[in-house]
Amino acid sequence: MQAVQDFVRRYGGIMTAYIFLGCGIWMVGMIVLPQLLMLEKSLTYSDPAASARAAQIQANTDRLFVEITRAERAVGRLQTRIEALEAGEPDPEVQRGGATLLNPFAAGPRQPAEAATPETLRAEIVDLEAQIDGNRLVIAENDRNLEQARLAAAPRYGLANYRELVENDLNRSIFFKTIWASVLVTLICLVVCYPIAFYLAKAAPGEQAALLMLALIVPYWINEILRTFAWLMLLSDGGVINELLLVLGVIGEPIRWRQGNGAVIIGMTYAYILFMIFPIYNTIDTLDKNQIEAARDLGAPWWRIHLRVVIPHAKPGIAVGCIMTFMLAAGSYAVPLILGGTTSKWFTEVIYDAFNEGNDWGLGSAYAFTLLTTCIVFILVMMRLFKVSLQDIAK
Amino acid sequence: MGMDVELDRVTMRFGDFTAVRDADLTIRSGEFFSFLGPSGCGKTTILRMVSGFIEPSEGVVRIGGRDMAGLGPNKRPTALIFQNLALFPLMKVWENIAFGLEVRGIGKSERRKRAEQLLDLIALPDQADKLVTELSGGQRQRVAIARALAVEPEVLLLDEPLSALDLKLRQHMRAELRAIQKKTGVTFIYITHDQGEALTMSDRVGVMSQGVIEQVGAPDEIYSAPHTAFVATFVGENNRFAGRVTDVSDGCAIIETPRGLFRARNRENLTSGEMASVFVRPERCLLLDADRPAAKRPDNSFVSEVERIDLEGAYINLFVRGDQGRSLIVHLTNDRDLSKLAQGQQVTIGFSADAAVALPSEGPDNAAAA
Repeated sequence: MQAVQDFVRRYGGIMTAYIFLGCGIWMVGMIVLPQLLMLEKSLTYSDPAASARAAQIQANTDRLFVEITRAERAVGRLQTRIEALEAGEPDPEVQRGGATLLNPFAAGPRQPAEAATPETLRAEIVDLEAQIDGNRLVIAENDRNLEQARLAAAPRYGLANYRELVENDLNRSIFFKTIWASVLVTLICLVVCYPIAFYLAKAAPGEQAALLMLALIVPYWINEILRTFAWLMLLSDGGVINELLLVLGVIGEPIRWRQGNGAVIIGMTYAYILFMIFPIYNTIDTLDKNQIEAARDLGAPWWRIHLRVVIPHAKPGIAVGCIMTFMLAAGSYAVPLILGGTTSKWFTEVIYDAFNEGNDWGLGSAYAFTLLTTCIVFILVMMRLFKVSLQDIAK
Repeated sequence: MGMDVELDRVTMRFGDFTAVRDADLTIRSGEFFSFLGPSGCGKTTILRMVSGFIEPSEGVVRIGGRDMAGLGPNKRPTALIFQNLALFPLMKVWENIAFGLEVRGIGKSERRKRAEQLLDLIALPDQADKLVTELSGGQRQRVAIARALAVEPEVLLLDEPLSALDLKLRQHMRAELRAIQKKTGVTFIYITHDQGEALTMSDRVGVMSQGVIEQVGAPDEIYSAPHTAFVATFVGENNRFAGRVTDVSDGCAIIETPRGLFRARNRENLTSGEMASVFVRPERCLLLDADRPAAKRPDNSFVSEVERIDLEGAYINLFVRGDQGRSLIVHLTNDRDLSKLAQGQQVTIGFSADAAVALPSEGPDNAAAA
C-alpha cells in the first residue's frame, strides 16, 4: 500500500491508474487467463467412440423426423380428398395430376382416381398414422440412447491428451527434435553474434558501427515470410547456392538442404540474429574500455580478455539473447513451414495441425502447453547452470 | 630495479593533429618522473606510446635499451594504472591483483599467496575476498597499484590515478605512492595536470604544452628557473610584466615594461630589442615603505593600487593592479597590521633581480594564468 502511495505521489493519479490498469490487462488478460484456459483445455478430453455413437443416433433421429413430417403432409392431402369426394366434387388429385399433351412429364396420380373412395383413403390414413407412431417410438428410444451416449462422450478431466504425446512416437520425436534443434540454432546464433556485437560495441569506429548497424537492421524491414522465401530461393535444390557450387565444380550434385533440418536451422539462425546481437551489444557497450585495455596491459591474450573480462560482463546480455532466440526458435512456425521438407517438421506444425486439422483443441493445448513448460524449465535450468539471476536479466 | 625509458625523437600524429611533437628525453631507471601539463597537452599520448597501446608516428620508444616497436601492451615490461583504475568489478580483490599472474599461468595457491603479500604491501590485509565494489576510493586505488605491481613491471605508468579522490586522501596517497616507489625501485611515470602532485612526488618533472615538452627538470628547478613563459605561468603562481629587452649585461636583462624598467635574470640569452616578459613569484615580491631610501630598495619596484586583500591565514594575498586588467599578486606573511592596508591605496612593490626571470614572449599570449 505504501508503495502505491509513493507511486501516486511521484506520477500522479492518472498515470498511476494507467500503469496499474495497463499492467493488469497485460498480466491477467494476456498471460494468466489464456494460459489457464489453455491448461484447462489440455486437461479436458472426450471418448471419441461415444461421441461418434451420439452423432449416429442424432442423425437417425433427424431422419425419422423428416419421415414423420412427410407422412403428416400425406395425411393432410388425403383428408382434403376425402372431404371433396364426400361433397360430391371430383377428386382434386385427378384434376391436378395426369399427363397431358402440353405437359407430358407431369406425374400422374398415385392411384387411379376411380379406385379412390373415402373408405380406401381412410385406410391409407390409418397406415400412415401407424407409421408415424412407430417413428415416434423409435425417436423416444433414440433420445434415451443419445442421452447416454452424450454422457459417455462428455468432456472430462484427465491426462489423456498428454498421454497421447508420450505414446505417439512420431510427434514425440518431433518434439525432442524441436528442442535440440532450437538449442542448436541458439548456439549458432551466439557464435555468430558475439563477435559482431563485440565489434559493434568496442572495436568499430563510430561511422562504421552506424553503417554496420544499419546493414543489420534494414533486412528486417522486409517481413519474415519474404525473408524466409529468399532463403528458399538460395537453398532449394536448384537454388542459387547449389547452382553456384555446381558451376564452380565444388560439388557434383546439388546439396539437399531441405531434406534434413539444415535449411530450417540456417533460416532460423538468420531470422533471430538481431534478437541475439542487441542484448549482447547493449551489455558489452556498457563495459569500460579501460578494463579491456587493463587486461591487455597485464599481459592477457585476446581470448583470455574475452573469457575473463568481456564475457562475464556480457553474461546477462548473452542470457537474454539466448532465451529470446531459443524461445523464438522453439515457437517458430513460418520458417519450418516454408523451408522445411517432409522430414523436418517442427513441433509448432504438429500443434497447428491438432488445432486446425484435427479440430482437437484439447490435444492442441496439451501439445502447446508441453512445449511452453519444457522451454521455461529448460531456460531456468540454463540460468541456474550459468549463474544468471532474473535480476541480472532485468538490468 | 626498474628500467630506463627512452623517448627518441618521438612524434605522434592523429590525422592532421599532432598530439606529441618531437619528444626526446630519457627517464632514468628507478626514477619517479611526472609529465605535467593541462588536459590535451599530449601527456596521456606519451603514456599510451610507452605502454604500447599506440605506436609513435615517428621516433623510437626504448625500455631498458630495447626498441619497443611492434610490441603490444601485453608484451612490454610496463604496467598501467588507469585514471578510473579499471579494476575488474566481477572479480574479488585478490583475483584482481592476481590477474596478471593468472595470465602468466601461475597456479592458484601461488597466486593467492602473491596477492596477499601485495595486500600487505599496500596495507590492505584481510580484504582479499571482498568485491572491489565494497572498497572505498582510496582502497581501490591501492588495489589498482597492487594489481599493476603484481606482474613485477620494470616501469609503472600512472594516468592521473588520484584525480578522483578527495583532497585529504589525495595528499595521503601521494606519500604512499612515493613510499611504494622507493620500496620497489620500479620506474614510475606519472601523468598529472596537478602541479602539487608533480612537484611533491617526483624526482623530475616534464612540463608539456600543446604536444611539446617545454622543460624537464627537478621540481625546484621547474619552479624557480622556468625556461619558458608557459612553464613560468603553469607551474605555481607568477606575476608577469610583458615588455621589450633594452639591455643585457652580466647575466641580467633590462626589460622595459609599462610599469617601468625591470632587471631580471637572463638565462635564455635574450638579446636587446626582443619581446620578453619578466616573471616574479608572489612570495618574492615585497611591500615597500614609501619612505624607504632608494639605496636600500631592491633592484625593481613599482607603484600600484590595491585591488583586494585576501586573508589566507598564515599569509595574505594582496592583489594590486597590473597590466591589461590583470591583477598582480603579492604574498605577505601575516605579521603585520592589516589595518594599514586598504583597498584603493597606492603601494610600492619591489623585487630583486635574482627573484625575477626574463623569458622570451610566446606568440599568442596563451599563458594559463593558473
